[in-house]
Amino acid sequence: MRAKPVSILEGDTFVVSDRRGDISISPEEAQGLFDGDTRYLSRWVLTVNGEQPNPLSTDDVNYFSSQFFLVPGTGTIYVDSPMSIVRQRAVGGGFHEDLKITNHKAKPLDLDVRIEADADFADLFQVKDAEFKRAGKFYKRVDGNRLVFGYRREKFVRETWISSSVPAEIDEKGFRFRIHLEPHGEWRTSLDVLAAVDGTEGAKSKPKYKDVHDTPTPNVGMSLQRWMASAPQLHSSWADLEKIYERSLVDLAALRFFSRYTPGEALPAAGLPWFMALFGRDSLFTSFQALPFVPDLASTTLRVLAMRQGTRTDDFRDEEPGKILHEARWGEMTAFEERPHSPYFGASDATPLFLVLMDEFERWSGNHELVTKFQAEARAALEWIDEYGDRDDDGYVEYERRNKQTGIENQCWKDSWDSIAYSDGTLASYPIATCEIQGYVYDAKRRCARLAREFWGDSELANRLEKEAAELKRKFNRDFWIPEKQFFALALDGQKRKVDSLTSNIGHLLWSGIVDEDKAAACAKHLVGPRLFSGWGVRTMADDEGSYNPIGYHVGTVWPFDNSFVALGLRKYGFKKEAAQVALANLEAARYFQHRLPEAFAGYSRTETNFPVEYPTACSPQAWSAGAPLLFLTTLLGLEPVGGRLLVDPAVPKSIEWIELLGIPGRWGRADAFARGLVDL
Amino acid sequence: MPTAREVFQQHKVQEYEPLLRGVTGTYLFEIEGVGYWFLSVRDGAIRIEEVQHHADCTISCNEPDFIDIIEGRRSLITAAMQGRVKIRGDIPLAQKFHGLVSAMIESKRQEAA
Repeated sequence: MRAKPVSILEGDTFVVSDRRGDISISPEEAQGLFDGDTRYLSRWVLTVNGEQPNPLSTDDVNYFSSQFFLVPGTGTIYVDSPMSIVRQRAVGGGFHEDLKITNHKAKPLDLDVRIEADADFADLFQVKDAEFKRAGKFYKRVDGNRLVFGYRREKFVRETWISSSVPAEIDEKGFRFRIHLEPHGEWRTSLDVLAAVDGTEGAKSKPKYKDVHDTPTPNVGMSLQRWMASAPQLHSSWADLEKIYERSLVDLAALRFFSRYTPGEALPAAGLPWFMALFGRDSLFTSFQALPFVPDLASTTLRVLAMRQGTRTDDFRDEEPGKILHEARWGEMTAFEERPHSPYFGASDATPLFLVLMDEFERWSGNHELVTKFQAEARAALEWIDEYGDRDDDGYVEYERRNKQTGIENQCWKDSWDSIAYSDGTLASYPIATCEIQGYVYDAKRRCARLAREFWGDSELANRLEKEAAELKRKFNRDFWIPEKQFFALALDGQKRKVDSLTSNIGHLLWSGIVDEDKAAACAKHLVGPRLFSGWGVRTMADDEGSYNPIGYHVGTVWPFDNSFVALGLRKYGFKKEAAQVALANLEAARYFQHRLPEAFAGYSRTETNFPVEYPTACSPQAWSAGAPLLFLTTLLGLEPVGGRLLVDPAVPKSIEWIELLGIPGRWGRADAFARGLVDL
Repeated sequence: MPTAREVFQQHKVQEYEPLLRGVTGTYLFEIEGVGYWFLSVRDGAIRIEEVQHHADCTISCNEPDFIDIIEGRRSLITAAMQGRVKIRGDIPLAQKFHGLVSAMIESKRQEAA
């Protein structure tokens, strides 16, 4: 089994290396220095006298720096090493690396230290698909004391500039240092690796950190210390909960980045390593989860997404007027329109979720400036729902990609190709109307009715939206309900047939409020029943469905983000115990992942495994997984803005004796919540 | 195919662009080997002058690329990503320009349909 790679990041610049700090490409792992979806360094290997040293210890000092303690290889039997090697690295606009070699012996040492380097400038899509056909030309040159790797395709130019603080022999394959170390002597150099982008922002001149010990100054406005201090303080009898909470906040801080569409507005990227980019859906869900904790994420998410709202019909990008974007990328394939992500609009849920978050932001913050300012964008989003989202005027939003080559087939959160399947395992035909999107639309219309009445001065629109929402709820409970199975269909297919698999989507329906009261108990029973509930959380798909696979991306794994909305939905319909059960299971699972919930984990039953099993390629950290513990806390504490006050109505499991959350920000200023564990699970 | 000068002349007479309602800022279009146009927008009211002034957002490119962008054959965003267009200053303002061009093309498309 391969050792876990070491990842450090800042914004959309990140470095993935092995435990030595070396970078080399392999089919199994996406190592490298990445910036703006391009790999600027594909090889970075340190050798001493021709050998790669071995790692003694590796430390992710914080999310943007790491250090590696190495000794020369001594085989399997440990022999006191004559020297030690320390690499310290900080990322930002490239990276800065301090390399120190210490002679521990009383005799002098002569060493041949080499750093081999190379850059393939692969687009992240190519890295992911292991496809490296290139249309441009590579070049290398030694430019004084700098080694330059470059790639040019027409006017698209990307370069990597590498320099050392002490003189080196430089050739096109890297740097060589011939070192003489006196007894107990020490040698140091600093290496700067710069991602030199010739694009909208002009060429950078140096990596952000000139010293790894510089005071951290993230490029996202608020330092980690201030970020942590601005969030509510959590104390609990359950120490793991405190650790999970701290990990979530740190990860959310780490994942903040400036979208190149709106420099100066920090919002959450989706996840490391594949999704260090702007994703509409992910940013919206994450911002919703984080509202009672770090509300600034929501305002920036809304501003950025409003700014790049769809304005035209563009089949290639699946863009339509009023639609909220799905994903924005900056690599070569996007630049040359071999991929549609400039940005891509293939998500049918992001638009109603944008409206949901807009209302929720006002409810918590009391800041109505934003909902007033973006009234036109909100109206355009509402128009998109009716005019483009509902393709056949049946009252439901359905999707079918217009970009048949590179567009996403399933434009819902379960966006893998095989996620929407009938109980017998066959795939649904398009266009597909998934159930949860109808719930989001229902919720969006109800919420916008409030905004129209209270802030936009348009009671006519408010009345119309309320009427439409009520009609949608009536129809939905008729058309999606499967009486003989007592749950809602996952979707309606292209022939309006019910896609009859039991999935976690019914939990999102509870969150949206679209479920008739008389159907809610059956949904709740399924969500915590043995088919869906693994013991560690609610599976994406029930374990007896035709497509079920405990390690299938959207067809059997447990997604903590999904579970956080399921728990909130259960709570909303009064199922406090069930909500606490789902929340606790996920939080207990986090203990097995160093207190960091991954994107997803396997759906094996808890009784089978005793610990949650990793999903092989899960992103970690992942923004909405980092947000999940926050929403679980909101649900357990029963936090709800009511008028100008914060309502606290806890339902905490007995196994957590007590929780206190101090300084919850909102329209009331700051408020505290206290809870005792009284719910018997 | 129109020239850059003709495009700016055509819009020079337009005093209000509803699609730029709520937008305030200045643009400088630097068309290589052709000239400079300064566009001032104040809540949708627009003014165009053939002059080189400092602007909030500067967009530089050659004339064929400019015409391709204006006529919808090339995206401003991917042109910038390819290095064909340089955008300096206020990027969100450039986004607004991209949105304006897209909306105008959409409007023409709908009229044609």
